[in-house]
Amino acid sequence: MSEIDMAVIKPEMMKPYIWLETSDGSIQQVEQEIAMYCPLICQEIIQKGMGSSKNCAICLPQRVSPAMLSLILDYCRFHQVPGRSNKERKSYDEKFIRMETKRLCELTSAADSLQLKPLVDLTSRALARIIEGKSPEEIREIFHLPDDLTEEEKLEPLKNTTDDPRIRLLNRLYAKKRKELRERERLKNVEAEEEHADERSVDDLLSFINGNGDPKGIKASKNKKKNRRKKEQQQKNSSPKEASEEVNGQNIRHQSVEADGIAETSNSHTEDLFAQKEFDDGDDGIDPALKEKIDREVADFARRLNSDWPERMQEFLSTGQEKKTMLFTPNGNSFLRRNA
Amino acid sequence: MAKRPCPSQNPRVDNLNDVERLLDAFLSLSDLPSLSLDLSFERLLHSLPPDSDLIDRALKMGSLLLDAAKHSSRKRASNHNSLAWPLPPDLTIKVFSMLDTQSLCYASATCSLFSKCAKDPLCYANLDLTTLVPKVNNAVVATMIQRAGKALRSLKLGVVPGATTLGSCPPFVCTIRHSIVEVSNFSWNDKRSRQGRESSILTRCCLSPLSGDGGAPGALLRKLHLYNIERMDNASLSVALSACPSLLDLEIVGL
Repeated sequence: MSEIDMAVIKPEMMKPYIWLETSDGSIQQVEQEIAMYCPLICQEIIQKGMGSSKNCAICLPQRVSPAMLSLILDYCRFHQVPGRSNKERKSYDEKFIRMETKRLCELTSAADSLQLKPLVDLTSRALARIIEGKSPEEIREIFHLPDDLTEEEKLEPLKNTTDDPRIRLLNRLYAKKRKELRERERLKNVEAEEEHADERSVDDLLSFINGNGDPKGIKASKNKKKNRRKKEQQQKNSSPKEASEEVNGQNIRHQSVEADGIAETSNSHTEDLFAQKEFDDGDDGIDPALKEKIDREVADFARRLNSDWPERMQEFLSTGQEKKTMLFTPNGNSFLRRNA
Repeated sequence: MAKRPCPSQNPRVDNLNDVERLLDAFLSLSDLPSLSLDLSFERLLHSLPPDSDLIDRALKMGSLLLDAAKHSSRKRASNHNSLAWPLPPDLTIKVFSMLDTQSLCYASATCSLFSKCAKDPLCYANLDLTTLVPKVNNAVVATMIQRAGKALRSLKLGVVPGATTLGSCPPFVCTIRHSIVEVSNFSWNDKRSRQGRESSILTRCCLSPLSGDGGAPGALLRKLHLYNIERMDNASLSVALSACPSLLDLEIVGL
């Protein structure tokens, strides 16, 4: 700043009052001492020489309404007095922030725009205390914020933020599939009989893999084997064979709608197939026909992930039977993991 | 939307296509005081031959309309929120960073605005994932640590009998567990303890995310408290500790 500026400003600073203009255009006089407690106002006075008269009133940021300004000035008036003890200041603060929530939010915003850090901290902490320990519904009510999250979004508040559009598509598809399968579960209860007839194909597959030639795979053993395999997979984290599949599976689990049981079971189904492929390759005991079957399943699943929804719906309805039995375990519980 | 006696008199519908005009006409039925949609539907159904697929069509169209309306309703709510919420994002994040982990999860489930702000790394600087009974598992820990990134300063993990942080609210864990275990009927008060044990146990790899991402999360970690993590072993623990060179406060109970 040039010397001339300084010479001009000095006499201005002797004036006890400065002029402030709030967001609604009204202009008021405020004791300079008090107003200077706000860094922004301080800056305006010293650096730009504003506020000395009504004509060059300091324009306060838009977030500062007259009501907020008066609150802030009260705060400044109290705290700029150097002689107060910490205890005094604290108890003043406690009383100060007792106000309606909406006003508290506005106050936080106004204080922030005036760069009044102590007040920002105070009000932020007060808001945090309000939010603490409340359920989402309660929080919504307090701040009058209507709910704009979808069911899936609510069910996965800790979703990894991958912005991969494929993952988002996956999520949406899984959500729809889940809804669809919920309906089918309802239907399934009506058509319980048909399940038994279709069991065989799946059991054939599994019993062959498991080495017992018994075509009439027992439901219980099928479940147990699937579960055991799942447990094995989970615990063998260091196994190199499974490492890639496990990671793959984990990623899918992380990134897809994890709350989706259907997604889980279809994933786990694929995982099982993947895993078995690995195992069987090592054992060299895989039957080419079986391998074909597995390949077909995998291709099916991949196709399902990528194709259009109406198409899939058609497919689903027509090939529903086989898939149904694999996705719904016989004891009515569709979540493999829950099986004891 | 103002009530209109007859949609065709409204010039607004002139630049809509046929489907939209029909939709408009249908929806304006809601203004009808004597509306009894179920009776009208029944009568229509009876007037048609018995093999008509009217019911299926009604189900399909009804659900499509409902989805569209819900989607728009959510968009409207989002707009409202972005205007009504007085704090700029950085202030919102500042407030959230003062919340404990449980409240943070609840806040993020409130609306999309909060959800976005709640994903900021600053909010995850101090993680407290202790629970009364085993409920938090590896994936949860991984997600949280990943979100924290290099903002992570303290981490508390494990089972603490009498943990006051999560008090009597199993719902906290519900929100987290949903990312792992699927839910058939979503309920904030649902007890998750009946879930399969393997999905709620912290294994020895639970701290491996600290070393992930070039060791960024572990690099500035000051405080690490582990309580009763049964499956932790020395090897994984030492790997984790070696990823945390700035550790000042280490507490391990029940190893």
